[in-house]
Amino acid sequence: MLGVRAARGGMGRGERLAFHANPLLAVKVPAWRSRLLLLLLFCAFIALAGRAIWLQGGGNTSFLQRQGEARFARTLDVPATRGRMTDRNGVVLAASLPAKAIWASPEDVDATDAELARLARLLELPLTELKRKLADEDRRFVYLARQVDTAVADRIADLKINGIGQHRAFRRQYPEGATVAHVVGFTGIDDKGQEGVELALDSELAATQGRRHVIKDNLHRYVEDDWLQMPVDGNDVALSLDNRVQYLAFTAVREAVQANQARAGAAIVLDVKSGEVLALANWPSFDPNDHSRRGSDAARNRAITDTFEPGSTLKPFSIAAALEAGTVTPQQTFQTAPGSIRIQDRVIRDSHAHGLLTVEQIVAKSSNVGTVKIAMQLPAQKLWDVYAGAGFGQPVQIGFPGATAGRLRPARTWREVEQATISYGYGISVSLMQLARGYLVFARDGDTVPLSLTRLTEAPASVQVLSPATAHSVRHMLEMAASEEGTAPQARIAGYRVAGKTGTARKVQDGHYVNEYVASFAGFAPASNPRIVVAVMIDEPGAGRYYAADVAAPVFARIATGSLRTLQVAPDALPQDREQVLAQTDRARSSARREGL
Amino acid sequence: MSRALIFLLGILIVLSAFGIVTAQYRTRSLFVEVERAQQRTAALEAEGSRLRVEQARNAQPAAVEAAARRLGLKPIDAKETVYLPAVTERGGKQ
Repeated sequence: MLGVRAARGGMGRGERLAFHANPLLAVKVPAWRSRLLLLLLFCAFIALAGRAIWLQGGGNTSFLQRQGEARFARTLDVPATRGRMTDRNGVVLAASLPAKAIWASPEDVDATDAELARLARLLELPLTELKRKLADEDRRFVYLARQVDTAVADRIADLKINGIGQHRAFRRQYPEGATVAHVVGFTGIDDKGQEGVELALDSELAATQGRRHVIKDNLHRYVEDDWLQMPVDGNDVALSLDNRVQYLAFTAVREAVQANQARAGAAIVLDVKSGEVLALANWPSFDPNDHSRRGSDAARNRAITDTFEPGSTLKPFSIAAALEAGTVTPQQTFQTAPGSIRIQDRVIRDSHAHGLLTVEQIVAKSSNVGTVKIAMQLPAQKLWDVYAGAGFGQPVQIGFPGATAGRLRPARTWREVEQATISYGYGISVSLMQLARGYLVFARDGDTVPLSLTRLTEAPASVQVLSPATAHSVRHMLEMAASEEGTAPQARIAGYRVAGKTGTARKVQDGHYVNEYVASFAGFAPASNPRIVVAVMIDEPGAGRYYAADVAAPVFARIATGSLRTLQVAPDALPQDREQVLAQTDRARSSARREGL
Repeated sequence: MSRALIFLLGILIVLSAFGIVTAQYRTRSLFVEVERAQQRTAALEAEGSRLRVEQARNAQPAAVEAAARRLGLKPIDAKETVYLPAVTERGGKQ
């Protein structure tokens, strides 16, 4: 094809030519060909550049970006911790600790029986249960355990079984266990509150998990990050409880329930000045660390969710209504003989005939007849106003789940006989929490404050329910009730003056009164300047004794003694010989001073 | 003149390029360090939390009472308590 010609036609024969000057190689190329080549090369480069620009920033970059990210970028969940719950002094009642969730991908598990047996032992699962979970090969993911201790999780990782993985989780710990179980409550497997304060203050305690985008280098270290969402730890919550008082109340209730073979019991301690709940104990109880016992009947916070007919513990409110209305005075006398009174078709009795009693003695000796006589002089609405003012018929607003309102029917629906029975605590139902709140009115100067389960920094605003004079009169009557001449001398404690009232009420089953009782006691101490209200309830005492004075009053005494000492309340009733001791110390002190010591 | 200037600018470009690489490298190593420190913080916080729980568990009134009973101690009784009056500077009772 290519024409070949001699480059230099006149060259002689035999003359040696340099290779490159060989005329055979001298090719005449048309100029257009090199230009074409250049153009083609240029176009190819342009195409490459265009492609590069297209891939870098053009229309469709998602595939490459995905591929790139898959190699060096990760989006991580950043765990945040749920808030701690403490008592009023900072003692931890609930805290979240890191744990591991163990999962399996059944189709990938190829462990030997021996390995599975070891895994089952570490997970504390029966081997058959573990095998059942792994048998379902269609499932790609199954949880074997959700909240495993990190140490155990490490040992599981050491087994190096294919298809078994772990990820971070939290485990809620309740160091006080059964003692405060009903107040603190518990969280579920997903770290959300399910009962108690864990549920009530879930929004406060809950943490928000964070997410961030990270870039890894070739050593798998994170070298850059970009927060998609910052993790927010839950807030710590300080409860109003004092764990020492709580423990006193809890052991006192537990032992009383066991000693009296009762069905259940509960006790509440309130701070009179602030309305804070210092203790709220229930028995039977449960260990919130043990997930299996949570759903049981023992998990119910009876002090808040259960109601009972209060019986005589309600009498002081009826008397207070009469004092407030001015229909009686504390020293006015009423004839309670012969120990019974007929209202409509119903005969109301005292346990025995007391004869002529003052209003004070009617409370101290807990006379039904006397109370009914006083209450029947009043319009029903006046009674209702005092009951409602003390908080009966309304749920206690402490944000606690399941708080009951009890039953207090409107006064206009009361028949005559109902007004009579309600005045001594039948035909009305209350929770122990309501009863404690009611006694706050007498312990304070006739006013009341909202109760609180969280620690307060300042005293809440109070609402006046009774005049201070009425409150003081009733306080004196309650002090008489808890004395030698009253129904409950068992409530007395050494060193302090106490005031309080027993209540032994028959229970209603299927609409009839049965021979089962609820023994309750509500009171406060020291009577001269009350600091704590203590309310106790023992449900169905079954060991032969059922009178509140024998069953509930000693529990009150025990809780009050311990609480006053723990709270370092100065005694207001020092025994006589102690006064002498003090006088001696004084003399010793002054003589020491005289001698210049 | 202009040739020397170009040469100088070329050197500056190379230097600044090195600077960028070094800075990037330092950023990343510092980031790795921060990351490690943060992990340590988290681990220490978890450990602190665990210790507080353990402390609470060991200081439970029930545990304290059990230990006290083993030592033969018993709760204070008001009958055995002598109350002393608080005395002010001038010797008066409060």
